[in-house]
Amino acid sequence: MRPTRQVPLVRIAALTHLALLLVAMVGAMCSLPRVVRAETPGQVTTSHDSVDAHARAQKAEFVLIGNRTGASDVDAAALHAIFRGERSIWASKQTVIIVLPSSRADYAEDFARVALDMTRMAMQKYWLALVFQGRANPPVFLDTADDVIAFVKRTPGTVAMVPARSDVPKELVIQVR
Amino acid sequence: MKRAVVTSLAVAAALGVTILPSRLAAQHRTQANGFGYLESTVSKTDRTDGYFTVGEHVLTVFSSLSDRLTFLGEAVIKPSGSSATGYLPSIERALVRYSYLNNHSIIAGKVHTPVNYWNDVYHHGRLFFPVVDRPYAFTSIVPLHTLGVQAQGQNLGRAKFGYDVVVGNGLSSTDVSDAGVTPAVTVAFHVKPVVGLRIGASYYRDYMSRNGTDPHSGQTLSARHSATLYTGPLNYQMESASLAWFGHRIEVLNELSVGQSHTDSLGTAHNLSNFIYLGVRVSERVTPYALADYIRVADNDLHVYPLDKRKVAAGMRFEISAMVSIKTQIEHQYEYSRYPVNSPTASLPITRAQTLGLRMQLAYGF
Repeated sequence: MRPTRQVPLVRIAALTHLALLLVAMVGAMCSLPRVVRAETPGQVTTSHDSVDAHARAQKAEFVLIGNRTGASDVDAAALHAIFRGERSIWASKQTVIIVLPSSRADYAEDFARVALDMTRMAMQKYWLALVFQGRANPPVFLDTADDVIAFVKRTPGTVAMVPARSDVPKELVIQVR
Repeated sequence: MKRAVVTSLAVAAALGVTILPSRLAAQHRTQANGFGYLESTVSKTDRTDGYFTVGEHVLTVFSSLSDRLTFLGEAVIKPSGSSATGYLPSIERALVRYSYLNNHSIIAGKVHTPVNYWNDVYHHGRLFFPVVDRPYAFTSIVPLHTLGVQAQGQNLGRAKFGYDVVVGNGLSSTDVSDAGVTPAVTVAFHVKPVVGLRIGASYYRDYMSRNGTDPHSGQTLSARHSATLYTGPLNYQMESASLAWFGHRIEVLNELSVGQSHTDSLGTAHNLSNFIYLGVRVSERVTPYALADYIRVADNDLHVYPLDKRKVAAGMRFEISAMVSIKTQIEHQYEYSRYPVNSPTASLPITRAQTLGLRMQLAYGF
């Protein structure tokens, strides 16, 4: 005979699953991915379809910086490859150390779209997975552009992107073709 | 109190966790991450069960030992029926990597055998699994771990070619010894011609002078026959092919494994497994999906033992953040396990079961 106390537990579990499905459907309607569009020499920009596209595009101008990388300029494909962790040693023989904006950085979302063609959340998960696989060294996450610039300045092999409005020493700038 | 502090520091040191101010930590580059999951299941066979499960919990530690030398460790506490507490700890990975040239490395230690996409990319990270559980092949025919030496290259050229060659302890080994002098060999390659796509293939070979299985080989289905397991020589081979496409909208993963185990008594057993997953990312956070999984281990197999399993499932993955996801999955499984023909255990009862299940999983990382 089936114990009667099992029935409520089954119902609770089934209802929980149903509730989750409803939450998931609501979540599906609340977030839509955006698209990376434009890149210009020296700076990389994004454009968005949202109503605040202009403001976001202004915020999304970036400068690529590095310390003793041996590269004075890179093309867009190489830039994406670097921030995807597809390079481990620079031409200068320095080990590549990638510096990324943490989730607290105000430019993290725009950076993720420009550098990786991803959202900030996807970027964090991508790197978490890559390090977990053991196929890349973990990046350094920092909270502000000033922290990033200071870290790059004192650490050979580092590479990062910061908003163009930042006070960037010229010797750190890497041109994007 | 003092003893507790000393113990805590000893544990932290043993796990390779260096507690440093953030600036110093960034330079020394030691990082620890944890992963785990909780699950609720309702399953119906000849009776209905509903229960909650605390799943595997993982601690990974990465550390830069020098400019070119890094360490990666992964310790897992996982459910085990042979433990008084129901859980046992194990070292799943402990490897030292030397990067000698751009994107080329030599690795020594215990690694995930890079035979296919799943074993190379996900393994214990339920947070990264596209579905609730591993494919069947991962408890039967796929050699999960190898302890030895690995040569690895990745992201080479325009096609982003990658290779892995591993030589190490075989399927019947433990983490401290192996019988015989013939090592297991894995040769694998993959290409990533466009972002999101990875196509790969591999070959694995192991000659066991004395057939056996260790839980770390991952072939836990063999372990359930441990009392009567065939202990003569056995030649084991497996060929795998993987196709993974994780685009902005569509996600596809197919894992095909074809295995052969050869014994002088029963000849060559041909085994087959295929797992296919299809997901459609309807938004950044929500991905409905479906999967089909199949494995057949031949009647004359003396390593895994005969088995037929099939699963079809549909589910939804909801990523709350980069560190938390919830998956819910409805699945139907069919299992038919039996004993090898002409074996001493051939008269033992066979198992046939159909299971309808509803599973919900909360997976997290920290």
